[in-house]
Order: sequence, then structure tokens, then C-alpha cells
Amino acid sequence: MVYREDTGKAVFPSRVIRCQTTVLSGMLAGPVIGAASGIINNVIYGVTADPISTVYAVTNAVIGLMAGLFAAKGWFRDIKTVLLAGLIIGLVAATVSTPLNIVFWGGQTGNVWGDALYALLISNGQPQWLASFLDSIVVDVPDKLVTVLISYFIFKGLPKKLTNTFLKDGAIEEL
Amino acid sequence: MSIIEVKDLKYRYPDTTKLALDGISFSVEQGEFIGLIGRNTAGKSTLCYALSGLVPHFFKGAYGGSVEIAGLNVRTTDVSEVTAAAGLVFENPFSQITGSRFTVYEEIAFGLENMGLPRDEMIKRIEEALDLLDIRKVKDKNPFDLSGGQMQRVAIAGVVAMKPKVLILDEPTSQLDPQGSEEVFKVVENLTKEGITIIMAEQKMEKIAQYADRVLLLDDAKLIAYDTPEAVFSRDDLASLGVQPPAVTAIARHLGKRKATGHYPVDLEELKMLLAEEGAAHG
Amino acid sequence: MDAMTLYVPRNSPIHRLDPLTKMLYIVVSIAAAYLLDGLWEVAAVMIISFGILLIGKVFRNILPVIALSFLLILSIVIVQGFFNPANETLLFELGPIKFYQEGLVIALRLTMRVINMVCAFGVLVLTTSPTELVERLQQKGMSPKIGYVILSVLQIIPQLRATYAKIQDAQRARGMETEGSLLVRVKAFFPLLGPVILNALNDTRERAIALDVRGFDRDTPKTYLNEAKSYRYSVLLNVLLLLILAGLIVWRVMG
Repeated sequence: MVYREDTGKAVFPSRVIRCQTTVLSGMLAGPVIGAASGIINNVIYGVTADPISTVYAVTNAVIGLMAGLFAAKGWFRDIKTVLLAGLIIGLVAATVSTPLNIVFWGGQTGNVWGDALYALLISNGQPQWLASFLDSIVVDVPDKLVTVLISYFIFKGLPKKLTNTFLKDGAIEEL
Repeated sequence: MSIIEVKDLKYRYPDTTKLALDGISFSVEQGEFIGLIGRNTAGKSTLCYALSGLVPHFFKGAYGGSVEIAGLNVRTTDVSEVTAAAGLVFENPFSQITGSRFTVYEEIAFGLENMGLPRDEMIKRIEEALDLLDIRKVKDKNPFDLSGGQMQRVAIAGVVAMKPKVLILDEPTSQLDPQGSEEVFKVVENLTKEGITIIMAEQKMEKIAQYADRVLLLDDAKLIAYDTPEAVFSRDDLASLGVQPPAVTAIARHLGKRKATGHYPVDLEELKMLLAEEGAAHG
Repeated sequence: MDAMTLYVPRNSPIHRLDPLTKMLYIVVSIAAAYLLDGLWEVAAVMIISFGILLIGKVFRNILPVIALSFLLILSIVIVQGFFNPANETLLFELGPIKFYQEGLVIALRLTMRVINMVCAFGVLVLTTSPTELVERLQQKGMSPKIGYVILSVLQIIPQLRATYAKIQDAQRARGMETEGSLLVRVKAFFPLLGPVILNALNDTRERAIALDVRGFDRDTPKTYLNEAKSYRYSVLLNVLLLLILAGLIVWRVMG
């Protein structure tokens, strides 16, 4: 049981890889662990390197949760549904992040391309929530799509014997 | 009553078709040292897991027969009670360090805290373990900053401090360099003098011959032999079972020097005596 | 290999404070910075955080962490100063780029809030050892399993990074290009990913076994090797902080 919490580790100092491990955790050990992994990843990174990340703990939790749910529903077997899952996760991540971005840093994300779009929209009279949402989309959707894809390939490549031990408790058969 | 009682143990890992343990039966008396040998796929590790309760509680799968450790039935007892009675140490020192403690001293305390022991009892046991495992000089160091041999001794200390009735060592020196291996075997020798029952799976047959009261030979999930080291190492079919006898025994076999019991010696001194006797006989 | 923590051991009153008080401070300070609107007020909140860090003798150590947010702050300044639709009053020009007062005021406020957030976290993180923090939380009822995950992650991640470096060395020895242009490094990344992840997962599984052997899943109540620390003024400070927070919320809701 503990090791399912442990899968939220193997974190490397890169934002992309942090989401990677959250998605992989969700795929291997289910939505609850995925969500927990998301929170732990961000809180720990936030407390040990960059406090700004703690704000996105919620977003990462949702990402892990969704990865786990999609995995449970069998979406990670066919490449087409994998791409769709990645897209959806990206959109949800952007949606969750938008209010966070608006409250904490006035709608921006700190990402060059996203904020450039934000600036463009704002100066053309678009409402802040829309500009911020599209800013987040630029940041999150391609990123999550790639993340989910990579996780899918890694997951596929793992030996079944290993992935089995991370699944929920099974029953002991009698011999 | 035997400290370990195994009856017709059968086990299959989940999502596999072949049995990993097929009808194993044996018993071990308190204080004995049992050497566990066999080729890599024979089932030694699985048996080690079965004796400590991880099979079936951690691995799930299909289980049959019974294992009793110090009177506890492994199948029906909570896994944390079984592991308290039968502690397991395995190959990789790194993965046995919990990682949540920053000094060796606190690392050994980990298991004791989980057992709910009072503070003075914990300190007493940690101090004993530091001496028994000869790691007193590193007690304030971070466990991850140690050599392989030191790290493995810390892992063993963490288990031994919990005072299990049985200590199971699954190839504890496979990932260590020669010096680290020597350190661990020296510690094993110290432990034999403590009266604790020990099961050790090993590839270094000289060590098995040196420490074991009896040797358990496995192959292909089945128990092939369970007898004194001499008896097991004198078998003619060892090569086909993927087992090399100790060098002394191999030489004795080559020279045709049997003991009075009909077995080849496993100890160098005994071989020398046999050769000396023969020399004397030939005048 | 060092644990992954920003903790700086020092002898200061802040180091001796109850970790829970410091956690409460983070919440109150960040809330205050966002509940208050006036530039001077927000500046005051930020300066209080600076002050606490100075008393804790760790002010120097927060600067590199603030630097991590540099891009975010820069982006805020540029976007708000230049693009904010409410911009009217021209403050200064940098070539063709015009910066306006309204936008810069907003940017300044946001910047101070961001810096305050980092500093508030610093008050906890720079002055509290991970072991002390976790033991205090467990004293208050946090599950030891979560405590374990927090602490082990701090050590095991650097260890895994070292393994990653070793595997990378091994691949390099086999003639794989790992340095160079972004494309080369990305290409080098994927064959590395497999063994590293496999290694990490196997390690995780083995560690779970080792934890079971050490009684991790036991139901019996846990005891502690280390004596529980008692903290001076803990209750007083906690109540004070909570009152400040409540006061600010009420003020905001009313006014």
C-alpha cells in the first residue's frame, strides 16, 4: 500500500517531468494516488525550490486524478484515445489554473508565448478571464498532450509484472 | 515445537501460469542456521518471501499449504506480525534504507518506533545493534553516505533491533564488493552466536558450508534435498541443478577422498586430515 | 549527497518557533498581501516578511529563490505596464515602448505579492528542519505515512538523480551523444528514460517491501526516539495570527 504513495517520487528538476510523474503515477496506481502524487509533487517542489509551484498543487492533483480515471476506463490502450485524453487533461488543467492565475498574478502565467497572447488579447479589449484562459491553454494543452503521450509510451514499455504490483489490492487465491 | 513449520507450500505469482513453489515441506528448529541454495530461478527468493509473510500478503497471487513461524500461521496472520517474527534482509542495500531518516541511529529506530516501544528500550536496542553490526563509528552519518557493506549492515541492524525470532537473509552480499561481503559475513557470524534462527540464501557455497547446520536445496520450485552440508554437497547431481559445491568438496571428489560417513568433506581441515591419514596409511 | 531541502541551520528566535506557527504565518501573510490593496499596505506586509527573515539570519538565502520568479515578475511588469487597457498616464518611454503609471502600479503590487509569497514560505522552509516539521505535524495528528513520504522524497530524489547521472555516463561510454544542441539532448533523453524509470519503480517496490518488514503498516500507535520539543509562546502567536487573519477578512468583506 505504501509503495503506491511512493510512485509519486522520481522527480527531476523540471516542470515538464513533474507533471510526467504525476500522470504516470495516475496511470500506474489509479486516480487517488495520481491526485495525491500531484499534490505531493508540487508541495514538495514548492517547499524545496520554488514556492510559486505550490499554487498549482491543485491543478496537478486534478491532472493526476484524471490520468487515473482515464487509465481505469481503458483510455490508455489505443493511441487515438490517448491523444484525446491528453487534450482533455490539458483543457481541464487550463481551466483549473485560470482562476489561480487571475487571483495570484493578475491573469498571467509567466510563460513567454502565453503572456504574449494575453497581452495581445487584453490590448484588444477582450475580458481578462478570456485572455487568461487562452494564455493557460497555450501553456497547458500542448504540454499535457506531450506529457500524456510520453507517459503512455513509458507505460506500454513497462513489464506487466511490475505494473501489476502497483494496482489496487487483489485477492489471494487458494491453491 | 519447531520454530518454522512448512507443510506442502504451493505458490503462484499473479498473472503467471507456473508455480513458483511446488509442494515444499520442511521444518527448522530454534537456533539452527539453514543455508538455502539452488539456481537463480529455483524459488529461493520466493521461499524467503513466503517465510516472512510477504508471500502472499504483499504479492497476492495463489497460495496453498501452510507456513508457521513461531506458532503464527502466515496465511491468516497480519503481515506486520509475521515480519516482526521473521525479519527479511535482501540484496540491494540502497532500497532497504527507508530514506526518511538522516542518521544511521535514527534509521535503526524506524522499525522500533513502528513497534511502539518506549524510548529507553529503543535506545538500548539501538546501542546493542550498533555493536553487533560493528557500525558504531558511523552512527551519526547519513545512511546514504555509506559504502555498500556499511549500508547493508545498517539494513540488517534495522531488522535485528526488532528482535525477530527468525532472520532471513536473501543473498545479502550479491551486490557488494569483496570487502563489503566480508563485513557482512563477519556480522552473520556474530549473529549465529546470539542464538537467533537464521535462513540464508547464498551463492557463495564456502560460506554456506561454514555456517549452515542444514542445507535446503531447491530446483524448479521443488525441494530437492534438506540435509547436512556434507550430504547435500556430496550429491552427484549438483551440476545439473545449477549448483557448484565448495572448492574443498570439489577437490575431495576429484581425489576420491570420502569421509567415514561416505560424504565428501566440506571443510579444508577435514580434507587435510583425510589426506594426512592416507599418507600415514601408506607409510 | 545532500537532502533536497532549503533548510539553513542557525541559532535564531525564528528557528526556535513552533513550525505550526510558521505555517500559519505563511497563510496569514499571503492572505494579507492579497486582501490588502494599497501599495503601502502590501509593501508593509512584504517588509514584515523581510524583517522576519532578517531576524532569522536567513535573508540572504531567500534571494536565489526569489530569482527563480524573475521571469514571471518581468512578464508581469511588461504586460501590465505596457498593455493594460486601463493605461492612461504615461510614466516613461524605453525607445518605442511606453510604460504607463496605472499598469506599473498594478505590476508593482503583484510583484510585491509574489515576493512576499516566496519570503513567507522562506520563513518556514529556511528555518525549520524537515524532521522537526514532520514530527510536529505528526504530533498534531498527521498520518506517519504522509510524514514518511515527505521525508523520504527529500532524500531519495537526489539519490535517483545520481543514478540518472550514472546511467547517463554509462550511455555516454557506449558512444551516445548527450551534450550539444537541444535536438541531440532530446534524442539522448529517451533511451535514458527507460532504464531510469524502471530502476526507480523497482527501487520503489523493494523499498515498500523493506518498509513492510520494518512494521510500517502496523496499527499499533507509533512512539518517537526524539523527545517532543516544546515551543515557547506557541499558543499566543498562533492565536494572534488567527485574529489578524480574521480581522483582515472581516475588514475586506465589510469595506
